[in-house]
Amino acid sequence: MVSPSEFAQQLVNALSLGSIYALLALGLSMVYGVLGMLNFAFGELVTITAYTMLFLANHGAPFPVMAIGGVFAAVIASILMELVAFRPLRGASFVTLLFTSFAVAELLQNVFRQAISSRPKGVPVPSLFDNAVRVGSVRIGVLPLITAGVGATALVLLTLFMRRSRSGIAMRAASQDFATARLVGVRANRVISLAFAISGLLAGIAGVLWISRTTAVQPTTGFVPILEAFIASVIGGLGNLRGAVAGGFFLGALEVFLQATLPGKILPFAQAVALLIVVAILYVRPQGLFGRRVEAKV
Amino acid sequence: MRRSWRIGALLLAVFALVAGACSANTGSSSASSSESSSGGTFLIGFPGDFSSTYAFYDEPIKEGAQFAIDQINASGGVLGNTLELQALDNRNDVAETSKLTQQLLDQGAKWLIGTTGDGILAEGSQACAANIPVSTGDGTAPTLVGDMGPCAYQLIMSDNVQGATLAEYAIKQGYKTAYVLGSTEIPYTKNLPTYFTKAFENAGGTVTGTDQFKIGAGDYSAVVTKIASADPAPDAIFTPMFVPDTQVFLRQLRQAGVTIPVLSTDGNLDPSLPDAGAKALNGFTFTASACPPGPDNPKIQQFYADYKAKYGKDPSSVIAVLGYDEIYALKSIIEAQNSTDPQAILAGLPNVSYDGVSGQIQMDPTTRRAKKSAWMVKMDGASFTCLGQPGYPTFVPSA
Amino acid sequence: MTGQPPRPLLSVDEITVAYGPVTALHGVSLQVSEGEIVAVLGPNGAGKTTLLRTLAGALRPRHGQIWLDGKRLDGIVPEEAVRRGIATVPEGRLVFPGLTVEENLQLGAISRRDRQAIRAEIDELFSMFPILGERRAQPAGTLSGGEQQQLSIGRALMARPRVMLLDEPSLGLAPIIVGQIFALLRDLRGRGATLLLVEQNVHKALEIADRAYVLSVGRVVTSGPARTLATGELERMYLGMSRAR
Ligand SMILES: Nc1ncnc2c1ncn2[C@@H]1O[C@H](COP(=O)(O)OP(=O)(O)OP(=O)(O)O)[C@@H](O)[C@H]1O
Ligand SMILES: [Mg+2]
Repeated sequence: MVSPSEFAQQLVNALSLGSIYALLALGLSMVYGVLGMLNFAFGELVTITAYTMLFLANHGAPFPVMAIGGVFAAVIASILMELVAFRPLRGASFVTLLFTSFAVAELLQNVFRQAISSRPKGVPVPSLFDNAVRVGSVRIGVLPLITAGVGATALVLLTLFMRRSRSGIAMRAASQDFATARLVGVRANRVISLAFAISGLLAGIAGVLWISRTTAVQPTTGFVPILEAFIASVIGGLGNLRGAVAGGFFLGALEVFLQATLPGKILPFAQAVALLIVVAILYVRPQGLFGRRVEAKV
Repeated sequence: MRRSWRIGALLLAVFALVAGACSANTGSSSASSSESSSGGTFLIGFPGDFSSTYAFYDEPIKEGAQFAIDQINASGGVLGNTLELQALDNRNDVAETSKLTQQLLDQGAKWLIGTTGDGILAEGSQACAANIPVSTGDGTAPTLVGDMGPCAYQLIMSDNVQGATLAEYAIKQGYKTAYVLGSTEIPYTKNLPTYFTKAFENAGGTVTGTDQFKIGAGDYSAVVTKIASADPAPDAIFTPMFVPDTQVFLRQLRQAGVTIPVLSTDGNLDPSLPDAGAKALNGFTFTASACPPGPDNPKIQQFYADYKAKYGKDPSSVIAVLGYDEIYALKSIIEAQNSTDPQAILAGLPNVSYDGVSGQIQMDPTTRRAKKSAWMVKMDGASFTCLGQPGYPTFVPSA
Repeated sequence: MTGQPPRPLLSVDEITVAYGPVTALHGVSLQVSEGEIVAVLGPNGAGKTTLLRTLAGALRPRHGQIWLDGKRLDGIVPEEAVRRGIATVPEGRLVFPGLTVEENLQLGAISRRDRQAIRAEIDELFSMFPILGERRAQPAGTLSGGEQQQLSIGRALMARPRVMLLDEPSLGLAPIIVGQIFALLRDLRGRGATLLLVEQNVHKALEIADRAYVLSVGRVVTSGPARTLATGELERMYLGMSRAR
């Protein structure tokens, strides 16, 4: 049986993991919302963040510089990705764009492999992250605390940006009806670049948090992040930003609690069970757990 | 060690489709073709992965083999024959491995070094079809020789030896109970927990808890919380985890306040490990095919010094000594049989006994696996320290 | 008022527009002068929406030219057309349902930089459409059809357009609401707005329009002052063309 303190501990684990997934899902959903495309090269932005942090560390940069540099690199890479790979294909079919993003991901992984190494490279992080604080019977690591804190702050700031700023309103309009947004004067290229920039920003922040946990980077580092982001945003309803956040936390909790509660013999199938639950959710609610049913446009 | 990466079937399948257009690597051969002098040329083929996932293992094997060959040729070769290495890049592609193996056999290769990559079984079956001896290279799975074919031999430490060595070590440390964390995703992480458990229980230890981890998950907090809540707490944790997962697991474990010693295997002798930090790593102990060079292992240290003197740089990893030892073991067979004929070599292989840089290679003719001891490495803070070779375990579970 | 015919603000010169192999407009020409209300009439499928979408930059003419105040307008993208002074009230209203009423209006002014004036104008619009003022914080998707149409017009006004294109603003609205919408258009005209109005409600359109063009199967078949067109002739054109709504 799971004791109350173990339960509380797992809850903290779920929140910390969920906040990274939420950032990732939001980043993927952001671009989907505006462009209707799934950018599977999104995971490579996390990898780029990590390699940038490694590069800066090798040049003696302190961690805050590594973190900011890593996020910055992801933003630039995301914008460039759109300009170079996706913009020439504007208006192409969903499948074309999907495959293009696979190609970009594969290409980047090859570049990492050839130019850096196919092996994991260690990324130094502050030893402060390894400390923990005790709250009653629950021990909370400093890193999970920072993760949850940074995640929550980023989500709040992004929400404010999307609600209050003109650019945020333009983005929301574009994700509801791109053609009409242009008729109203929303600049297509600018709003798409902005969506990729924010997507990169979220990948970068999630990447810093992710690497702070793994302390290593390899060419395939982006694989798990994109997979989790994809599942979480599907759960939340693709393109639905609030849903993406909810989907991220839901997925984090689902993974932690399956691992915590499934009997040993079934554990190897935990991932299959998680996917089964997700498929079941989508069967009942194709628009996602948190998505509103989209009205058919006349 | 040998492992295959977890495959997110859906995505990678599509990646792979697209990859065809992108992959720009072409097979690069890096053989040093020295024309035969007085006697003939003895061709050694190595269809290895020198550019992809397993290049980390195959590349140093190639370096060590080439080093041994250069030394042997410089002192007159073997029975008047010049050794020649043909190392061709299989890019971790099974079909490519198969093609290259055939090419090497057609060129008259009399010995094949096994790739650590996915094409190892193809390489083995083709070698055996041609009746040419083949090694497992850096492959540690004890099941490999059986799967590759009757001409396959393992000249390095096997995984069941790793499990048994760690079990013996645990008992010697006074650990009576252990928590075993495995993963059924790949044979390496699936079988090692079994080997460890059998050996540990055989020596009187008790496994009080088992759990499964997901390779490459990037988060093990839920597993860690379960271990932290295990009552009574185990004396030790065994897991065949490898980098970069080990870093995540150890850090989360220590953050959770769990100070139980962790025992693991050869996937951790990796330069990326120390960045997990001293707090997480201190005391972490694992087996390896060879120790990193240091004063406690003068042979390996000497190997590094000689290598650097010849090539002006270090080998890309300590795994190079395995390639080096394999060639010298081969030389000892040829000399013992007084023949370079592959059939004579196959006849001599079951009795090979050679004291290499990485330890004694004593072939067990019934299993076709060398009875070779594992090395042990312990983290002192964030640095690797060598505990040496504790010796071949008294009880080794079957494959 | 000089008595001279004013130079047309918007001039469409022999444009041909096609969707792939389907040609929707064949050499259509029309002019709109400053302060005028010009109606574009015609049966379903005549090409009215196509015409407006082309003017708004959403479609590119194959042939012909579009001029706004002496500058070429054809071939530019919609967001640029808005900046040149073309605002659209699209067919089916198309407010952003997930944005609040106020955000929809702010979005209408996305092409402008004068933030202070925008604030003031939104307040002004709320006094013009009190119902929108009451619902300013409500998602536009929760408004009634008539309210959404008001919002769509308000959103176009926020761009401070030189020409406003309206595509069937009365479509699907109850008669009393239709009356309100036309009253609003008349009011806009009184403020000097220039409107190009696509309508199927021929009577109402001709009542407020100065001039009208009649499109049929992609061609201008008749044009002239609204008063002269508002005779039986036009009725006959529509005869037998039941409106399937
Ligand atoms: N996206 C499109 N692709 C292909 N053909 C189209 C497209 N949109 C419109 N058409 C065709 O172009 C012609 C003109 O259509 P348009 O929508 O401009 O007519 P309309 O006068 O606005 O009709 P309604 O009164 O029904 O709104 C029609 O034959 C229509 O089928
Ligand atoms: Mg129409």
